[in-house]
Amino acid sequence: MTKKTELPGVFRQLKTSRRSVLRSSAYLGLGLAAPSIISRAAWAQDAKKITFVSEESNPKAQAVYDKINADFEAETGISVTMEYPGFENIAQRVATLIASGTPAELVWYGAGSAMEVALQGQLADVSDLVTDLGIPDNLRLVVDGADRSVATSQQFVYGWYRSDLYDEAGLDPYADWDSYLAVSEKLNNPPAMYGNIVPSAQSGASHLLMETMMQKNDAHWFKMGDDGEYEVYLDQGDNMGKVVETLEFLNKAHKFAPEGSNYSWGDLMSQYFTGRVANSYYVGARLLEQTMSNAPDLAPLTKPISLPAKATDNYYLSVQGFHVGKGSNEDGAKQYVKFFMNHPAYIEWLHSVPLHIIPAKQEVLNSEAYMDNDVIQQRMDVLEFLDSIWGKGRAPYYWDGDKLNKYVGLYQNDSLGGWMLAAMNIGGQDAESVVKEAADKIREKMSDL
Amino acid sequence: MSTSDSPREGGWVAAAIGPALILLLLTAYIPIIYALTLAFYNKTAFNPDMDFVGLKNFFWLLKRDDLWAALGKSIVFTLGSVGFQLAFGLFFGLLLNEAIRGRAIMRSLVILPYLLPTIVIGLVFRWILNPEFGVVNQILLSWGVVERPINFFGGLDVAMTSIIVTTGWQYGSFAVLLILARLQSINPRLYEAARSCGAGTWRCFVDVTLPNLRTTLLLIALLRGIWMFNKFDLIWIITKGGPLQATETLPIYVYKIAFQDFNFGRAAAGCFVMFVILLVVSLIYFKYFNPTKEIEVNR
Amino acid sequence: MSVGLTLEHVTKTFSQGAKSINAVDDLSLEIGPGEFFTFVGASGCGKTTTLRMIAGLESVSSGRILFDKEDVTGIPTQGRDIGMVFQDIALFPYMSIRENIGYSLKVARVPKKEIDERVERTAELLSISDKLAMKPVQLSGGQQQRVAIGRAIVREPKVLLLDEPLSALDARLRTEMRSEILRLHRRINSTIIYVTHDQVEAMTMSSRIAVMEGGKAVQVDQPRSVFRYPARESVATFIGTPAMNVWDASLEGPTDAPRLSWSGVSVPISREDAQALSGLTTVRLGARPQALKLVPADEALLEATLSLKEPLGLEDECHLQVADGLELRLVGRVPDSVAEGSLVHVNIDPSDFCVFHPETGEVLRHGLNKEQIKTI
Repeated sequence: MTKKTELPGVFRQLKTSRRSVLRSSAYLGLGLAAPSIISRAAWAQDAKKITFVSEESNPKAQAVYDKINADFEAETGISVTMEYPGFENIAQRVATLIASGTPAELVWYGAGSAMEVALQGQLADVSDLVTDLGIPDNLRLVVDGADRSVATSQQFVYGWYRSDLYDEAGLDPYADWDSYLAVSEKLNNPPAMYGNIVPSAQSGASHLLMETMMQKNDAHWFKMGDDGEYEVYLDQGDNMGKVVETLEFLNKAHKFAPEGSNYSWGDLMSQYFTGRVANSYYVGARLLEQTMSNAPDLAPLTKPISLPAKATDNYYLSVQGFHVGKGSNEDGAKQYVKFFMNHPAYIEWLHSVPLHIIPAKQEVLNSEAYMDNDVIQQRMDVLEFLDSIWGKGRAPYYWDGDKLNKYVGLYQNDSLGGWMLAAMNIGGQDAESVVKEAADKIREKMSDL
Repeated sequence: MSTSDSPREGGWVAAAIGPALILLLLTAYIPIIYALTLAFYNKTAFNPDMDFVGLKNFFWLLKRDDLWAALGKSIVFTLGSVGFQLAFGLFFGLLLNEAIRGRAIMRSLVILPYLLPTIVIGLVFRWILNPEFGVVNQILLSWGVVERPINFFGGLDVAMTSIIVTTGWQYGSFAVLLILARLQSINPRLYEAARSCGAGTWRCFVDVTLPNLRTTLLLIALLRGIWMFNKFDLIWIITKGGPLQATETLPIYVYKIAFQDFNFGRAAAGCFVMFVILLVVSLIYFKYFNPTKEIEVNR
Repeated sequence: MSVGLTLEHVTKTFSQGAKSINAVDDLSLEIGPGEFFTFVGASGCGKTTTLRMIAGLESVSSGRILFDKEDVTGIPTQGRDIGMVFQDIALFPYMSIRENIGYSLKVARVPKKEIDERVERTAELLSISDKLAMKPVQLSGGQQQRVAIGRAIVREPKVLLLDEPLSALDARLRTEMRSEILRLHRRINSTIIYVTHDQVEAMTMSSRIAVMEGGKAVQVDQPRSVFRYPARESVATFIGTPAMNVWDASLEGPTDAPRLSWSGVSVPISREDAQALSGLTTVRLGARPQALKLVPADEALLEATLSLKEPLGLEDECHLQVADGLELRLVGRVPDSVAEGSLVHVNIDPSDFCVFHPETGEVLRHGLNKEQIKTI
C-alpha cells in the first residue's frame, strides 16, 4: 500500500486545489512570471511556435510526444515546447499562464479540470476538431454552446475478480446487486479472504464507488430545474429512495469487505494483488498492470467485469484530452491536435499503459494496430470486455442532464460520496440522515457561491 | 550602557539593527499579518477580488459543529501526544541515564526518529500498523492477544490513539534528549542527601529527579504543546482526518476548508481562531509557570 | 540513642580496566557510642570512601560494618538511620529551609505538626530560626551549612556523618563552625564520624582520630596522643603545624658510648636508646617546632642562622638554617631584637625527640633519655 500509485482520471485533478489555484495562484504566478511576460507575449504571437503543457509523467509517453513533435515541426515548421508540471501542479501552471496573458496553446489533462477553465471563458472553441475527428458524444465537453475539449483517451470504471475462486466455489460472475452480494458473502472468509472491497473514507476511491453505484441505480445528485438551472436533487422525491438504496447496498457489501475506513486508490489494488479480496474495482486496467508486476501468478486469473447493474448499466467515465488556450496560437494548436490524432505513433502513445489508456474511438480499439501489443495479445479478453461495455460510460458533469453541470465540484472536491459511505459504514449513521446531511452540505456550498 | 541620547548614536543604532529588523518584519510578520487579515475578507476561488466582510467568516465558522468537534479532537490529540512524549521522554531518559550496557549506542539510536522525515514515519507506521500485513497485528495475532487484526488507523475508536502514539514516538526522542541532558546535570549529591534522609528510590524520584526536571518538563510541554496543536503533516499523511472525522483536528479541518472548499477567507479565520487559542493558553502558562524564573542554583 | 560502630576488615576495591586498587585496605576499627571520631588524611587516602561505606553510599568489597551488633553491610543508605552532611552542602534548592530541614521527617511520615516543632527546635539550635521561609540561594555559605547540618540531625540519627563539611567555607567561618559543631555534639550526644583533610579540625574537635594513609588507618588514637606519640614519620609530619622537623642522623660511636650525629652536632645517647636503634647506622630524627627553644649560647645544642621570621601574633614561626643546609622550623616567642640574618642558639629537650626508622618510617623512640645528652 505504500507503493506510489497514480490517481486515475478526473480524480487526479479533483484532488488538487483546482479552483483555488485557477484564480488565486494566477496572481502569485503573475508576480513570479512578470519578467518573462514580454518575451513570452512576443512568443505567443509567433505562429511558428506552440507551448504544450501535459500532465503526463510516464517517460514512455513523453518519448512518443518527442517523436510526434519532431515530425510535426518537419511538416509544418511549427516547433513545440513541452512542459510537464505533473498532475499536482498542472492546474496552477495553466492558471499562471492565463493570468500572465500568455495562455498555453495546448493543455493535455482531464476534461474535468479543463471544465473549470472553460467555465471562465479561457478555452478556445474546438467544435470543428471534434466533428472532424469524430469524437463520440459521451466524451465531449460543451461550454457556452461550443466544444472545449478534444478527447484523446478515456478510462472506464469496472470490476476485477478472481476467476479461480469463483471456479472453486462453483459461482457464476455477478451481474446484478443481489448476485453481487451473494457471491461476496460466499467468498467471504475473514480475516484471510474478503468477498469484496468497499472503501469507506473521505477519499477519491471511496467517492468513485458511490458515484458509480448511484449511476447504476439511476440516482442523481442534481436535477435540471424549470428555470434551466441545476438544483440539488439528492434528497428529493423518488431519487432520495434510490440514493438511500445505493447506500444501503454498499453497506451490505461492506459487511463482506475489510474495514475500509482509510482506503484510497492504492488499497483497491494492493488488497487485490496480495490475495485478500476476491473482488475489486478500479478506474481502468492499472489494477491488472499492478497485479502482473506484483503477483504474476494471480494476473492470468484476474478477469474484468462490469460492476453490478441495477436500473442502468452505466458506469463512471474519466476523459482526457487536448484543450486549446483562448487567445493563443489557436490555429497552430489545432493543427497539432489533428496531426497527433492521425499520427501512427498515437497508437504507441496509447500503448504506454496498455488497456489502461483506452482510445477515444471504438474503431481504434478494434484496429489491428492497437491490438499489436504483447500485453493486449495476452489479454484479448480485456479488450473484448472493453468493447462490450463501450459507450455506456457517463462523465459526471453530464450525468444529471444534457446540459453541463458546473456544480460537480461541490460534491467531488471533498469526496462527499466517500463521506456518505464512511458515515454509514464506519460511523453507523442511518442512510436517510446521511443523504439529507450530504444534500444540505451541497446546498450550503451552493449558497456560498 | 548609556541610552542612545545623542542623535548620532541613535542613527548608528538604527543603521545597525534596521536592516535586520526590516528583514525580520518582511520574512516573519508580514505573512502572518497577511494571513490574519485574510480572515476578514471573502476570498474564494470564485471571487478573485477580496471583499471585506468584517466578522462574517468568524460567525460562519463559530456556528459550525465541525469546528467545535475539531477543537475537541485537537485538545485530546495535543494532551495525549504531549503526555505520551513526556512519559516516553522520562522513561527513556531515566533508562539511558543509568549505567546500562550499550548506553552509548542507545543514546544515538534514540535520536533517530527525530531525524526521519515525517513522510517516512507516516508511511512506515501505516505499514507496521496495517491490519492485513502489519507486523504489529501479526505479533498480536500469533500471541493470541487479539482474535482479529486491529485496524489501528482505520478504527473509529483506536485511530486517535494510534496517531497519538505515532507522533509521540516521533517527537518523544526530543523529550528524551532534553530530559537526559538535564538528568546528567543533576548533582549526584542531592540523591545521596535524600537517601541519607531515608528516601528510597521513589522518594528520590519525586523529591530530587522531578523538581530538577520541572523546568525541562514544562518547557517540553509548552513547546511540544504548541507544535502538536498545530500538527498537520503526519496526521494528513496517515489518516487525512479519518476514519470519518475521528482524527480531524483543527489544522486538518482548516486545511479542508482551504483546499477542499477553496475558501481562503474562512480558512484564515480558522487559523486566527487557532492563533488566539494558542496565545491565550501560552499567556496562562507563562503566568503560572514561568520557566525563566525556574533557573536554579545547584551547588 | 547513639550507637557504636565496628568496621571489620573493610576493603574497597576500585578497578579500572585490568588495574585495581584498594582505596580502603583491610580496615578494622571500633568507634564507641557518642564518640566524635575523625578520619583524617591527605586526599586519596581512603577517608571519604570509608565514610561513604559507613553511609551505605558505596558498597563494601569485603569485610563487614556493624552498628552496635547489627550488620548493616547489605543495608542501603535509607535503611541505616544516619544523618549526613556533604562537602558541597547539597541542599534541595527548590525547597524552603523549613522543607529542607524537615525532609527526613517528611520521608518518615512524621505528622506535620511534629515536623514543624522539631524543625523549629533544630533551627533554634543552629540559630537559623529566622531563615525558615527562605530558599537556600538566599543564604550565605555558613548558613547553608547549618541548614545541611540541621537536615542531618533533625531526626536524631544513630550516626551523624560529616564529609569535610567546612571545606567550602572561608577560614573565619570554619573556625566558628568548628566550635558550633562541637557544641552541637555535646547537645545531641550522638556518634559523629567526621572526615577532613585538615589536621587542625581533626585535632581540635575529635575524641579520637584515625590517620589514614593508602587505605589504611596508620594510627588511631586521641588527638593529643597522636600529636605526642606519632606512630610514623608520616603521621608526625602530617599532624601539627608547622610540620615536625625531621632529619637524618647517623648512629656512631662504640656500643658503650653511642652517639647521634648530624650537621656537625653529635650527642651521646643512652644505652637503652641505642639498643632500640641497634642494627641501624642512620635514623630519622624528629622534633616539633614548638620543642625548639632559643637559649643562651652556653645552653645550646646547635646554632643556626635565622633566615625568615613569620609573626603569628604572640609567637613567631622561624626558619632556621643550620650549618650544612639543614633547615629547621621553630615556633615560639622570639625577642624582637633577634632579627632575620642573626645567629641564634637552639636547644631541644631530649624528651621531645622522636626517632623513626629510616626505611619503614615507623617510630623507634618517643623521646630520648635526658641525662645522656650533653650540650656541645
